[in-house]
Amino acid sequence: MTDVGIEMTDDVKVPPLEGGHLTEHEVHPTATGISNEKLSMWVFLGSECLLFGGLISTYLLYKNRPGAIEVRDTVSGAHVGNAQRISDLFDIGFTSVSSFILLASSLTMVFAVLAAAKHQQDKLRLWLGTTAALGAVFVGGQVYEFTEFLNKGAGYTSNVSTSAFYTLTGFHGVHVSIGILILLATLALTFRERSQVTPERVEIVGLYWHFVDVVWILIFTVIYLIK
Amino acid sequence: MTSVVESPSDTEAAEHPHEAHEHPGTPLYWKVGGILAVLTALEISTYWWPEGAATSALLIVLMIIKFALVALFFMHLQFDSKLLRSVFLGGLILAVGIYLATLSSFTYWRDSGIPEWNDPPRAKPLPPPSTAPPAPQPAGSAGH
Amino acid sequence: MALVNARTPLELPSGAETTVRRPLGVFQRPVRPTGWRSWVFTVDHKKVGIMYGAGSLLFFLVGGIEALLIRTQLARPGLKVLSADLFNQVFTMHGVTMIFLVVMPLQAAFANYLIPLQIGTRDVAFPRLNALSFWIWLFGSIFFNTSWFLGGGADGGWFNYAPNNGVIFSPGHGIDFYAVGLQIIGVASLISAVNLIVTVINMRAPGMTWFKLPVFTWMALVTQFLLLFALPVIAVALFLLTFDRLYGSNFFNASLGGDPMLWEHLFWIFGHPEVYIMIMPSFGIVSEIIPVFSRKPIFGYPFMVFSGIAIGFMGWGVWAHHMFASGIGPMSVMAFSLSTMFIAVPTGVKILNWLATMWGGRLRFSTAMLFAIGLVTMFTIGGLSGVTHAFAPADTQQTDTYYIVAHFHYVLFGGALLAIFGGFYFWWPKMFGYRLGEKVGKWNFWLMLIGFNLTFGPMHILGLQGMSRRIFTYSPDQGFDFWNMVATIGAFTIAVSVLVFFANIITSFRKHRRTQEVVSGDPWDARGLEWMIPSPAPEHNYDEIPVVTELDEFWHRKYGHDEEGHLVRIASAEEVSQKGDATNVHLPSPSYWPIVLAAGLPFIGYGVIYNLAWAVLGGLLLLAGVFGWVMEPSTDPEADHGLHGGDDLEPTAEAAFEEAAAGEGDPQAELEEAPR
Repeated sequence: MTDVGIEMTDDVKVPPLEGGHLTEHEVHPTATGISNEKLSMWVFLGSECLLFGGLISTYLLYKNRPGAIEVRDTVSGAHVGNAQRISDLFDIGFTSVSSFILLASSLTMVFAVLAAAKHQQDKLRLWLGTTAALGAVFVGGQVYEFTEFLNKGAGYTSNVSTSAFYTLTGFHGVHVSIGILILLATLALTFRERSQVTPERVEIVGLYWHFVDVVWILIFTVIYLIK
Repeated sequence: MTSVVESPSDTEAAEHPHEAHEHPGTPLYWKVGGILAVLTALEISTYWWPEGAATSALLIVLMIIKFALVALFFMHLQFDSKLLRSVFLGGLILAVGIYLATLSSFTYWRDSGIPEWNDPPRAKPLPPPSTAPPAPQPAGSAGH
Repeated sequence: MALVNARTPLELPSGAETTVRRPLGVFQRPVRPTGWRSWVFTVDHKKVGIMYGAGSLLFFLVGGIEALLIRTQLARPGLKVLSADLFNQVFTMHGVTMIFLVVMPLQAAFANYLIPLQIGTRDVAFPRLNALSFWIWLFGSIFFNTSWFLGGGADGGWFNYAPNNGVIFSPGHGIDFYAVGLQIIGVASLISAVNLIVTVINMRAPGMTWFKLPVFTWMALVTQFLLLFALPVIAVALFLLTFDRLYGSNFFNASLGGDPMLWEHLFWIFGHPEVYIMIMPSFGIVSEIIPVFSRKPIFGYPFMVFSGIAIGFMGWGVWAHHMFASGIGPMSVMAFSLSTMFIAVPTGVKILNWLATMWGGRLRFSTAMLFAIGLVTMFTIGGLSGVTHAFAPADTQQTDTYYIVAHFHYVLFGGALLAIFGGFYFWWPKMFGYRLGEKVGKWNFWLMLIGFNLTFGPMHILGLQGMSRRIFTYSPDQGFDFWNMVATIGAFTIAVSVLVFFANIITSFRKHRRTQEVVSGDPWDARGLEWMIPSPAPEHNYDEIPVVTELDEFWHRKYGHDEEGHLVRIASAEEVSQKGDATNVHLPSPSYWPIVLAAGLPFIGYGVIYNLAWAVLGGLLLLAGVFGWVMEPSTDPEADHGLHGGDDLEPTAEAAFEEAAAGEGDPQAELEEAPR
């Protein structure tokens, strides 16, 4: 970690940074041996369980509440039926592919963390970029899926099941998108001289990303698969 | 009574956990990833199985296994201090407990066994969800 | 450094010299040690705590005026001081203000100020996040109160039940401000909770194991865990409400498939831990004050700790006792009734332990002690009425009457707030270098206690006589006239006592400035580590991080026991205290970004309610704040939380730079000479 306020000038001797990474001695001992940043991420993730739990519960409560969705054919726009729940419109095949993509992104994230630990900058950037790209594909898939539902007639306010569904998956999607931004920012920051991207910071970004994946595991099972 | 797994003198170990002690390498991660993929495929296949409590139960079990694999291995909880595990599990168990209790209270726990004490029955049961296309309506009639 | 210069009441003398900091980040970091900039850009936990306190006291006046309006309206039957609609707004805003804008941030003020001092460290784990929490809270609170000027305040009650909270029954923007405003304020508390949890777990002084932690820090830690897990639940509820009101969903609209009970559950799953969030730090404050003024250690320290933890756990299992009359069904009612009865037990343990601490002690009835005893007595009364609510059949009579109003004011005002005032009197010298007047303080206390009991005592009777909550008036033949008048007189007595409190601050400060006297670091002969440093606390807290060997470490450095077990003084406070004059201390630098980031949020709020253009502006501010923050090299806030005070573990370039700068002794000269 760069200490505050020290300019790299000729007058001041700065210890050379190994390969652009910060030296380990600048981390100060904590009472538990775990760094503050890592502990804070786990504490935060504990809190996020409550957030997603609430949204998932709202969906579970409302998934079977009646309220007609006038289903339309996406091509012709003709009325083809009355769905009562958003789950009637799910396309498991498509969502399965999305799930595999997000899972793969978790794996690539792990490789990024490994690369960071071994101080392999190029591999780190590769895996960070891949993870972000896979995440973007996932989000793209979600957007496509939502558009399909919308075209079919299942809008946000069509009935409470659609509202609950879009809210839950929307929150998840926003979390994934923020994760992508963090990944890209981390990637960009690795190009800085005196990079602050320590292996541990990559690990902490990874924790967030894996959590987002874990929430999807929950959502996919509870929302899509369990009837 | 500080819960110290890595003492402060092991700060360097904490900073470079991947080098200091036994640590999963790439092969293990591929293995875990592979298991996750297989489990996911299994989960997806249940879509075509008959509906039932057994299928749902299996899905929940698979979900928990996948959750645990990602948390323990990808998120490194297996090799990290127990403190991190407790903090995260604390939130998780609290969430599951509270929300299960809440959701169940919407449908269960309403019969005290003494009819006089129960709430009056619903006036009309909720109509079962139906996906049948609407019956053809004569032009000009009001909608439902 | 302890000398008083001409300074406003809220300035602290800076401890360490400030040297030039030329950061690698985008802008030079602010470095002024004095003036408004040293407050607006501070990351020092003490300044942040003081700002929380000042802001809360301001909102206390706002909420107090709202209370006086309520009491004026209800003084006699049939009054028309407030219309029914305005009355609804006033009691809603009063409730939300007192809870989120007064009691919670006052607890945050003490937690922020005291936790690092009590655990023997220099600052919290993430100082910039700490400042961010404060600014988000402040801007959110102001945002919430602008509703008064923008069409009216929220009017659905602080618990804001559906369907009344929907657009059909509350078409104005008041409840939108409630939903968005509380969302913003919630974010502040969540960030702060993460920060303080990591601080307490990770940054304790060497030797400070868990069972040497002061009781206040324990209680504050449990509170942070409660905040951490409860805030997301209300965040969900508020999001759903916002989507209902602004985007047309029907989460709480029963006629279209929604369920108002979902709101109730989500709200109270948050709401019950919330009340423990409000009271637990006060329990901690009392546990610090009573031992000092009884000259005895806290009785049953392990029980105090475990009961606090127990309350934290059990508090999650009682939420539906707020819903006994909402139709959750008899089985649920029974379960929650039982759990509510059980939760009285750990609190009872605490009351007994405080009494046992006082028993046989050499009592000094300072103002702080009076307030602390005030909590013990008043909270007992409030707790007993709470136990009567636990019995669901009884509660069916009591709910939504003034009996409940009496209960929660006894526990919140008589409990949480009295202890907070005690905390003010106790820790004021540590914060500002002078004591608040004791004589005026006693007037403050007694007026407040008498006024408080006159106001809320009769409400027990009114409630049992059948007076409903949230009614804007009542008719003369109901028999409520007398006690309502008494309550109103009591309310104005409280108002006088509050004025006395502020007068005390002003006169004490003036006397301090006139006499140029500064109290010692340990004016009360107290027990905790925070009294080991000078008053007011130096910016760097400890010259050298103390090594802790037992609970009440500071006390045991001053006092020992002779062969017969009597207390004997082994050292004077001066001998074992730190001087506060260390100069080679590296502190986290101030930063612009917390306030910039925080400023974006109210704009996003206005955007969500009115016009998305504002949200875009707010988003840009937010992004600018994040960008600037990330680009700024993260200060290592743990820089001096190691075993040694000013000495770094290894000579680094930065230490060399600092030694050079410190050697010059003239920061202004350095500023001019620094290379760029």
